[in-house]
Amino acid sequence: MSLAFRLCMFALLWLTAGVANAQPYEVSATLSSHQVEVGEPFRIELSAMVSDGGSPTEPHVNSPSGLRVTGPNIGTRTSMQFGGGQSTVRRGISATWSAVADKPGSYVIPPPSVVIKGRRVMARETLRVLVMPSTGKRRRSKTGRWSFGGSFSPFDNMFNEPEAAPLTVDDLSAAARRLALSKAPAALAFVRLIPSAKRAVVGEQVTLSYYLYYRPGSVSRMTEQREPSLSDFFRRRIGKDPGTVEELWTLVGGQRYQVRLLERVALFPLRAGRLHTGKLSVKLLRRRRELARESNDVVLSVREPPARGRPAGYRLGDVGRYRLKATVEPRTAPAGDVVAVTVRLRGVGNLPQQLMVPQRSDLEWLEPEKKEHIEEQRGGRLGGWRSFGYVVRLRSEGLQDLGEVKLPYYDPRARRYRVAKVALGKVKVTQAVSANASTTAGSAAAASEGPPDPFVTVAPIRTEFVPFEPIRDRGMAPRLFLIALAAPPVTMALFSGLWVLAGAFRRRRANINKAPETLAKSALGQAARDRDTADAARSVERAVHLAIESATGLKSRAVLLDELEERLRAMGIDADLAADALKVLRTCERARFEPGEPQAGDHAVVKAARPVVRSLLRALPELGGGS
Amino acid sequence: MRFFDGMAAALLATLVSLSFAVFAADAPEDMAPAQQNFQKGSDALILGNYEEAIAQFELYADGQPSHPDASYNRGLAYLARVRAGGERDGDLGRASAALEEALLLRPGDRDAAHARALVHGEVARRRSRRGKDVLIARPSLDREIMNLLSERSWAILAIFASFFASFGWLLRLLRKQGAWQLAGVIFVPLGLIAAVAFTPIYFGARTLRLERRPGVLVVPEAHLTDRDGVAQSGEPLPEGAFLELGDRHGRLLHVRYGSVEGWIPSSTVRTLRLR
Repeated sequence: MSLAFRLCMFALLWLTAGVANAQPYEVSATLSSHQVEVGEPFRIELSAMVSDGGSPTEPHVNSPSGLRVTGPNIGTRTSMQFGGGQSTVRRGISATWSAVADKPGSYVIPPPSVVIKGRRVMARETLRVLVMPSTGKRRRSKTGRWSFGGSFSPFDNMFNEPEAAPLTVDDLSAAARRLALSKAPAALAFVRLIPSAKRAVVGEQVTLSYYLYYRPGSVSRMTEQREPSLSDFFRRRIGKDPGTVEELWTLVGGQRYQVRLLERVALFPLRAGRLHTGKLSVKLLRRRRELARESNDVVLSVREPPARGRPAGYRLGDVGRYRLKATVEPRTAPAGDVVAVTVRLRGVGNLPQQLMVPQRSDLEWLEPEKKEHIEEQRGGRLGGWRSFGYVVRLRSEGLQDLGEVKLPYYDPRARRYRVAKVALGKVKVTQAVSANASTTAGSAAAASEGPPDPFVTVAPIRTEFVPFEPIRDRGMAPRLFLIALAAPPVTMALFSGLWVLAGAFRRRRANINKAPETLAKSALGQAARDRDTADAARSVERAVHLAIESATGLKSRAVLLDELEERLRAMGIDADLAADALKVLRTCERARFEPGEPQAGDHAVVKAARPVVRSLLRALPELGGGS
Repeated sequence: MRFFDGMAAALLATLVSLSFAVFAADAPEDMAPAQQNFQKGSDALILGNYEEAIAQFELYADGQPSHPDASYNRGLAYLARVRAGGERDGDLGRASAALEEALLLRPGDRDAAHARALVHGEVARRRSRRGKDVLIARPSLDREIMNLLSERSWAILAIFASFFASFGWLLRLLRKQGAWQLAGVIFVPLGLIAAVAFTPIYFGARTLRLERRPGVLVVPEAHLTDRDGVAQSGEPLPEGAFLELGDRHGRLLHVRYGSVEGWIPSSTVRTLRLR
């Protein structure tokens, strides 16, 4: 083959690939698991990307019989290729349904679809899942990670630095100056989230902007963008297509950076508290190498609108500025027929999905058909209109006042509640015409034949407060409880201890009273009190013997007096003391048999015995005696 | 002197009149909004305007201390919407929540108990029509025991048991034989066993009181998930299920229904107000 032919074939192939690549959208679907058990949840995931403006809407999946499908959860996705002052943006959505099978079997799920530019486009894939009988074990569903479905040109286009790049802060525009930073969070390129406000009330709009900063020529394209989780917010993309927004130059840490707006999202907080947006993560290509970058995590302080002054029927999250208009057609209708009530809500904010309609038992309000047109308003706020087309069935004849449709909301600018309301006026309800009458009668009969009202026996409403005694279980503090719980046994333990101590003390006291030393002193005291000499002598004799026993342990009564002195000396008693003791004992012996005159004071024998007894008792510690 | 007496009398009179003025001004401001919401809601419900009635009773519930009659009427307002054919998802659950609240505030309220039984019956009937089990979970024994008495009652029982054991100990100490000594021998182990049994129940009841709140499921059904939001297998919780609410993790709330535990979105549950 000639070289020219080969070149032609190569060009043809390249063009074919280019045409294939140039397809304006790509819709694909996957399952998180192809084999599950009965009752085990799995996910149906749809990815739709569009490259020539617009974005896919209304994802839909038909669920086969036996499969319960809920959802979808919808997320937005963006891929971007940029360079040389041009960029190609592919925008899209990812929709996820949760599915659970009730019975085992093989299920075929028809391809999910989305609407792209008014045409419903189906995914290429038909999905199959095999459902096994439940084993009863708890299984964790596999966590899928989004794959980036965009396709890109195989050629890298590096940025060229423009000639008019700014050099100092003074060269920057006001918008670029707001984007300037003193320090780069990461080298070469980084992403940053900037909120329009740090504080808000539940339902108030906060605009979050995603910015990509990069050094000129440092990266060629962005291969992946993962949105922040924003799990505590209702979000809606606003603003121009990011691909059409002009890039800015700014200074970061004194160096020039290009800044590209990736996305602007209107966030509406769903609850109060410190809410985290989560981080935006991107992957950038630099000379065939990927750079992964994560943004800052923005924290918003969100509170509820004040409780004071809150109007009846206010729904948390209805925040903004609204007004209502309504039309009722026709104004005359037979009983049992319907009238069309169209209410148009217009304003700025996250337009509420429900209005407060005057529902009564004589009016039946069917679910409204809604239409809307919502877009970014001046000042970057989301707004527009939403119409609610109600069909109202009139049940009673006569001139019926339909009442008012209301929308209580909180105006964050005025910091007060307001109620948007519109009067619906009166409708003349005529007697039912014959055909209608028969229908109404038939429906009434059908109603009477239908299932009985299960709440017919409910007691009537209460028109005034009846006093009641609120149940107050204040509980008991654990400390108090533990003290009270431990008090009886601890008290008993203390009491038992004291009881034992008292017993020991009594026994000790009894022992002390029986000791020879004590008895000796007692006997000496008794001798001093005895008036009769013989009695005194007997007492003295007992005192001396007890003193000897106390000092030496010797039971001296059993020893002959003649041997006593010798025995006492042998036991270490001083010789003089031993002699004195013997002398006192002999005196006592004599006195016992030679009684004298009774006398009031001490007898001589007592006087003589006292120093002897004291000396013997003092000798106690030296001799190691005692009881 | 006469001048000072006059001044004192004037000052006293001013203070007294000011006090009356303050009380007179305070009373209607404190009482009026509650009465007004309740009255407007009751009037609207009598006229069949249940939407207005719901709004008024909900407003009452948002701002005022709970009252069983207001909760009861709120339940009836939701039931009126169901009966009139304007039912919205979760209305039976909301009615059940209001009636549970009325019963918690006034346990002997027979009307509320009857209405609640009707609501539960209707939920069960609807479930059975869809081929679903009526009984999802049985009550757990520990909760049944702890809810028999209040925390304070369990504490008092444990303390009494401790006292009982100590009294037995005293008898054994003072009497070495005879009937009293025998009574002491019996009292000590009985008291100890009772104290050991009642003490953990007291702590359990205290944890329930302080860390758990009552709530009711106000959506047609809710699947339990784990802490990360991954769905668990098993039957979903039924509308109007009385739940024990625990910790919050992001938008998820830990709940216990009978012996079943898991996490569900906090927006699907209505917390009952008991004050």
